[in-house]
Amino acid sequence: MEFDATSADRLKMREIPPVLGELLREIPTVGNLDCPKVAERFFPSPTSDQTEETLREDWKAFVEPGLHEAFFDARQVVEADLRGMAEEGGFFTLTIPRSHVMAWIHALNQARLALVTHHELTMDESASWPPEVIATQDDWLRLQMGFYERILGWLVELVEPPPSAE
Amino acid sequence: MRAATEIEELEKTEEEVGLDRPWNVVVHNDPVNLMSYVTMVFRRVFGHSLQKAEDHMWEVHRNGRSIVWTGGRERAEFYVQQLHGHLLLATLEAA
Repeated sequence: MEFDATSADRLKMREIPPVLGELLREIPTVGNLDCPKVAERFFPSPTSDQTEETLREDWKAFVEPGLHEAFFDARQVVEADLRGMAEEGGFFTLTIPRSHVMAWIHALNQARLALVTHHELTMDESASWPPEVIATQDDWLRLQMGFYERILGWLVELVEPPPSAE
Repeated sequence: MRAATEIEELEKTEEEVGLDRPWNVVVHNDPVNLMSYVTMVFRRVFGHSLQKAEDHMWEVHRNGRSIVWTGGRERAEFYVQQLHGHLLLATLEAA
């Protein structure tokens, strides 16, 4: 698979194998907020101070709906880009407009956090990439986590280049 | 012009929510978020230099938490909201 950031207005991922194409398609839907643990992780309390009940109530009423919408919007942008993923010779090419990079970063981060939280993965489990053989659901999850981490790391570096690249 | 009792009530309410004292914005460790991602978020939300953003990131990583900003209550709430928008675990607490 090849990452191409040479264009001024778009990024390309080329030679994407079908299995990784499938993992890309799961990015917008993997953040299942119906899972209470995931919802709790996505919408944490703004304070641990027991006397701040009003803040917690206001947060739920006024802040969380906005966060919900922002998380959803990022996933929608990614979903739309994924609909344009093109297949050629058994491999896929994905084009990401540079203006969508932050949405991709947010959606990938959501996906990683949701996977770890929902499946209660330890960091050892989620960081051991790539599994040599995909034989179990856990192997699939590790592949998914590792793949998302690769793309996320690449995109973050594009947004905030390390000093040597600046 | 407000009645004296109304002003007293307002002052009492402001005192209760601590609008006149400093508040810390604290970021807590989450082993899932990438270090480069956390650094990027600090730079985007607070406008930190790379060095300062990385210092806070390492403090979160090593100590489990870092006070990333201190100041007025309203602004502190705004920053916590921004950090939650990036899915960082952040809280505000009285300084």
